[in-house]
Amino acid sequence: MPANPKYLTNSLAQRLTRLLAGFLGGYCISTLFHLILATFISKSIVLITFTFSGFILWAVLFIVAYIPKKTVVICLLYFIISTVLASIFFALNANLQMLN
Amino acid sequence: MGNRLYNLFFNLHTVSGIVISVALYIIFFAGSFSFFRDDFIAWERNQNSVTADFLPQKLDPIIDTLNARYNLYGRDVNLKTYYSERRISVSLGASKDSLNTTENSAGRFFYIDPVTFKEQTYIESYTLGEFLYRLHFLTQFFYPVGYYLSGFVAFFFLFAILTGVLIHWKKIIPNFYTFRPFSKLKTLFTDAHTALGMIGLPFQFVLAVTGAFFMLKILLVAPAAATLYNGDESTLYNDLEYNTPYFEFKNQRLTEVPKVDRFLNELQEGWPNFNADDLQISNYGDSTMRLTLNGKLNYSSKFNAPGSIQYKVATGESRILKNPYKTASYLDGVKNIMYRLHFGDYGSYVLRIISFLLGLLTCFVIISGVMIWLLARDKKNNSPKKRKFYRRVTLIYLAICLSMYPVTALNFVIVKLAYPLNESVLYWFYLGSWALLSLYLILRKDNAFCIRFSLLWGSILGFLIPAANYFTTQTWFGEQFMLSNYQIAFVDLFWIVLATCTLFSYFKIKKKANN
Repeated sequence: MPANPKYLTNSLAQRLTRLLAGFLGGYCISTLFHLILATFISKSIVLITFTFSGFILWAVLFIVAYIPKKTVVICLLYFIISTVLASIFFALNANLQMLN
Repeated sequence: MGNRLYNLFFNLHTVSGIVISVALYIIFFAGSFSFFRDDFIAWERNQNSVTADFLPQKLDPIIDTLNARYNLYGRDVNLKTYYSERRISVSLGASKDSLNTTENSAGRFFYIDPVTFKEQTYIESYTLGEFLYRLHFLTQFFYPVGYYLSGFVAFFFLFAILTGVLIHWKKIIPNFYTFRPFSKLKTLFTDAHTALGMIGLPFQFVLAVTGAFFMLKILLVAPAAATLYNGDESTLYNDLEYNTPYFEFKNQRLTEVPKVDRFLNELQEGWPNFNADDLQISNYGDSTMRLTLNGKLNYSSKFNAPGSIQYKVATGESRILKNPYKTASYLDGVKNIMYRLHFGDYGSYVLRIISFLLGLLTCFVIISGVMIWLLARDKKNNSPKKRKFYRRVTLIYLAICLSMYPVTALNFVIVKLAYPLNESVLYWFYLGSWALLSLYLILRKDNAFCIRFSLLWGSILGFLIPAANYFTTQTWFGEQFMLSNYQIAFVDLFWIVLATCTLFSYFKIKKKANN
């Protein structure tokens, strides 16, 4: 009983895009999320938690990337989330450096 | 979960599983044996460890020997026991005494035997135990590519575990109680895959996460170092307490360097159940000389109990850096638990045997997954060309995976009879015999033959392992047990039990094939 192909895409480009979106997008979001937490909470505590929660969150986001029907949706979604998280993180750090 | 998602996750589980299957099997097979790494090494060298995985009670003889050989004045010296082996790893920093310009003053790393004081380098003291341990993170395959490869295999294994749970979620309980061994082959494999996968789930999940961390930590550290620490990695390692102490060298010789054992004994009295496994001497013989002793309490008295104490040698003052009797910090807790869960070394042989069995169970889950993949595709509605391709892929997978058992057993016999072998000989022999046997099994073009051959020859060679040990050392495991050489006795017994089990399965399979 291989998976019913009616639900799967045949386009190689589509498959590759989704794979990259899940893999890279998942990694960026997971990393940025933890880095933002680390700026708020103690660095060492968040970073050592990151060693396991990072991979779990990454894998979950990787799987989530396959849920929307359209590949474009997930690409855009992950791109927007990463950009927002990145801007928050860098804004926070710029502020902290100025305060220092 | 709708039909679309079910089929989608099913496909993700199949594809991720089949892509990593061979590498994952190698990792789990070699990894299962690595639970007994230290025992295998003790057996090969016929050298039982004296003090488990911590430093011996008397360190002065070693330090005096090192001082006579390398003139320790002005050096940082590190004695450490990573494993339950007799020898101790020694790391000497370059001499900070600018007048000492002899060749001997450079830094070096080697191992020293606490009984004979013989020194060995890493390469000349290579063992099969070390080989199997390294094979389980693929060091032998294009180092360092193999490291990252094994890390990503662990990560995609996590991915396969999560998708596997998702597709079985609805029927996870009824499926667990379903086993139809007398039905057709594919049902048998499917039932086994789900039920055994379920039993091994927590174990596999933990190993996948910790394994990904060990091999891919650079992916986590690099972005944090680049942003939070502005590229200053040493501060990051300081924060995570991975640093070694450093003290400025003043070049004021102590008239007499105090004995290290004095401090060790003092500590032993103050901290019962504490075992030091790491001694860091900073600026040996200088007025700034410091001793830092790191270790932990016995796992039976406390699980998370890292201890660290520093002595200022000139005055005898001590400073407790970490008190093992107090609640360990979150940082130390996570670090310790990551390692303990992966190595399964905190519950004596019982836990390691359970871990070994769960590891082999995972190997079976991987193989049954590959068989399901084949049997679901080897059907009349597929073109003969495609079916041939599926069969060939499965045959190659099975040949590579299953030949590991007889090859490992063969190499145990060889390393015992031809002891000592150095790194490159072992590499050639293990990888060469593995490649040849895989090729032979591929050319036989018979999946069932692969399984029978592997079980039969693995068992025969497995029985020869204690025989080879008796042949070279003239002692059988009973005598070793009496001499309290438990590690050596264990390996002989381990192989007898394992070979008996696999021989039993061989006759079961043969009988079934004859019927």
